[in-house]
Amino acid sequence: MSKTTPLTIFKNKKLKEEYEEFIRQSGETIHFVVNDEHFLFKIQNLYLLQEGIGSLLLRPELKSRNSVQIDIGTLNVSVNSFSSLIPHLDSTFSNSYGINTLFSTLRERLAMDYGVTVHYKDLKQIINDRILVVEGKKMLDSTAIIEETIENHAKQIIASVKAQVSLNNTEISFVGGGSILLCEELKKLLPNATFEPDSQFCTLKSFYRIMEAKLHAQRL
Amino acid sequence: MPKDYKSITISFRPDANHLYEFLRKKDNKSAYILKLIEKDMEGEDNPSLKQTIKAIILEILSENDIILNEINKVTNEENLTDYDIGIINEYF
Repeated sequence: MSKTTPLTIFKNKKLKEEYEEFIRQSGETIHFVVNDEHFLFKIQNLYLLQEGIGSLLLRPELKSRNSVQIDIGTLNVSVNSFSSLIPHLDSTFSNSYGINTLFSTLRERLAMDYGVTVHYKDLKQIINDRILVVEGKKMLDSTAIIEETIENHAKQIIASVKAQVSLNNTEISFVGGGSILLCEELKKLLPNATFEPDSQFCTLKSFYRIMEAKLHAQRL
Repeated sequence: MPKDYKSITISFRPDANHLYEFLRKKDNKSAYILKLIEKDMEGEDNPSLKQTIKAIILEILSENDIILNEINKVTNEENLTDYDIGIINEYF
């Protein structure tokens, strides 16, 4: 079994050991209830893998290139750098520029400019529509505000990446649900970056390939 | 019976009467039983017998289009070279 591990834990040996023990539950039986169905299982072999490795093992060309995977999640943005397939932990970090930060900023901005309370659940729709509609009435000038807020958020993400990682001679991939939402703005800032079509599941698929490689090595 | 020979008595339950009748008809019962035991013991550690059984099972499975390797097959393995697999095992 492989388990995605937050970078702050992944980079700290002691925390990583504690986390492994916590997930494994010391090899005792683990009980889950999903949709009223009971699942009982024990974890024998557990591999903790760093979060946000994205499409690293899904794109063969990355095997011989420098690459950066930028995973935009709900809470965090995780940035992972690799030379060929070798991870550079010193250029691997996460920050809090996840989509929730954008939601908060936009919510405050719209509340201030239009005097309305915007619910969290509506924010995704507002971003997709690029317009605020208050009780059926389209706030036409809200488009500029929304686009500006999204653009600023995308700029913040790119600036935070550039501050710690070189993007020269490097394949840049955007993954995670947030990259779909910010795709348009990010493309303007980094036109040559790749947006993974299966952005929400590509890290999972890369994990699967790592497990295949580990299984293969065990058999040799 | 020579002095250094060992003997054993076996009993037959009523439901094993047919086995008793079968054995009774043998001329040399001891030799017959010893032969059976020997055969049984050889079978336990006989690798060639195991291999024969394995081959028969695999043949039956493949005749019915069941490929055992499919379950454990490493998908897209052709994209991962031994070098890649080495790197993955070392760094992940």
